[in-house]
Amino acid sequence: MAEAEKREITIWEKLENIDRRIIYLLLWIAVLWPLLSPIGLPVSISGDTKLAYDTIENIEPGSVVVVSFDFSFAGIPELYPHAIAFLHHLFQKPVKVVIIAIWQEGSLVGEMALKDLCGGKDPRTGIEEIYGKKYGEDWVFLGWIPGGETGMRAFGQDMHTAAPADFWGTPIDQLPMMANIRTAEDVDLLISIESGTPGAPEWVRQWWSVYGTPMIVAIVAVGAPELVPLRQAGQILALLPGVRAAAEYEKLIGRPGLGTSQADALSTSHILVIIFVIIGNIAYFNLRMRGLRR
Amino acid sequence: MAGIIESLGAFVAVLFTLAVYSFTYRENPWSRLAEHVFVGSAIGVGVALNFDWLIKTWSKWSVDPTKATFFWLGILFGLLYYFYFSRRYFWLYRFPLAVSVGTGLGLAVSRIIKTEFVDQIRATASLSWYVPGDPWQSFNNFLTVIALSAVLFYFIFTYELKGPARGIMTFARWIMMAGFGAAYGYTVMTRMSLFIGRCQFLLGMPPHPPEARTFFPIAAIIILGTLLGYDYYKRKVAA
Repeated sequence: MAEAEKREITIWEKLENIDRRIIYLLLWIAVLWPLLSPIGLPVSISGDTKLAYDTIENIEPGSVVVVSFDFSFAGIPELYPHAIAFLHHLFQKPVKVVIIAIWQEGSLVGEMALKDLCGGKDPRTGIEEIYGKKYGEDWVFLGWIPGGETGMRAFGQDMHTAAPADFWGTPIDQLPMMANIRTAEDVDLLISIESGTPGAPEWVRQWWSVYGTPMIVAIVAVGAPELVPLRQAGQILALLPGVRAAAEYEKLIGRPGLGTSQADALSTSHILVIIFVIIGNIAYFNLRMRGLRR
Repeated sequence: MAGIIESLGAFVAVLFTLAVYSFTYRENPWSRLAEHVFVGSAIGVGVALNFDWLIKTWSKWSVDPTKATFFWLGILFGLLYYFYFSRRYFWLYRFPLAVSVGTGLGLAVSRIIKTEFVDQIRATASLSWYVPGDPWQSFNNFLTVIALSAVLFYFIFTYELKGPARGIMTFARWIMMAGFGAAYGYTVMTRMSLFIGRCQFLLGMPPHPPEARTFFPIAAIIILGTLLGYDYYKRKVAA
């Protein structure tokens, strides 16, 4: 017993019990370093990102696209780049854009994104200055639609009742574009940028299964595995998980943004995690082989 | 040049970001302060947005007597939720809850059977095991069908599995492990992205306010200084 107590602690045992603060410190370094001096690691384009891009690129002129902000402030790091990229792409196409938010804070994030796209100006005039898209005629921002899944259904059935006014309080009847857009049947494409429930499964239930509306979904990576079966079944047209897909989309539209600048840091932080997983496993098997661990 | 209000906002955001991350050092008053302020402000924003929606809706619905009646009925019905806090009238709270649950379930269940059961089975059954010119897709489709069948088999508990059946169960377990691993990989990706997103903010990368970069070291010194200083003081007192 005394001999066992005297035994020196091996390097592997030390590695198994690294102070978590050292790991966090290394993580700070692994993330801040590539952000301060980008490495420029290549970003390859996945099939779904290309499909989403091609769908918007080849959309019929005059089509109606609904962009739904289904996330809160917490989803900004992963989903904000998607929002900016989609809106930037859509505003360059001859389509009508209806922006909504099923999540309460989503409406505030939506306003933030629109302001960013026009350099901090009032989006109602700023978007027209930059993209030539007139508010009320080419695009509208209806803000938050309450009720979660029930709200999605209500909005699909009668947009004018579910969204009586836009984000800034203008009655929906005073928005000329909305005169001919009343139900989900008038919508040609739905883009849901989301971080959870209510999200894609609810949209599929209330829009895709009822009206057959094609849907592109950008989701936080952690939620992607849950949606893969919906994508496999064709209920979702394209699935864009996490910030990596945002970086791919930014590359396709030729507008590098927050997604692209995250790509390097994402790679270095993942490399760090992989290194720790390998070290942990080597330590575990080493101690097990030496009979120091069961 | 950013205004004082914008700069103050950026400083508060930087301070609270670092206050939350100070939890990685140890639990401390900074992280608790950030948590409490976050909860309070999130609820405040929620209440404000609810009122905003009510005002907008009333401005349109008030001209139609039927809609106006439903508007006020809805509000009265919603107020019944507050009887949750009364022991005597708790039963009144159950009415709006029953309507919410009933409506939500009714809407969801009627569609779940189609979208999450029938359509999924149909999609899996229609997978082709041979896709001309695309061996990888053929392999993927084959694997999907085999894995799905094995995992479904794994959850048959009605009789004791022996012989080859046990092999299928082992295969199913491996398949599930691989699935959990992939899901965990995505989880790590999200967590890292959240952290990187805040780092982008701290570095003032566009469209974040550039002054955040100036405030980052200042806030870091304030938080780290107080934490390390307090720890040093405690050690000294203990000694």
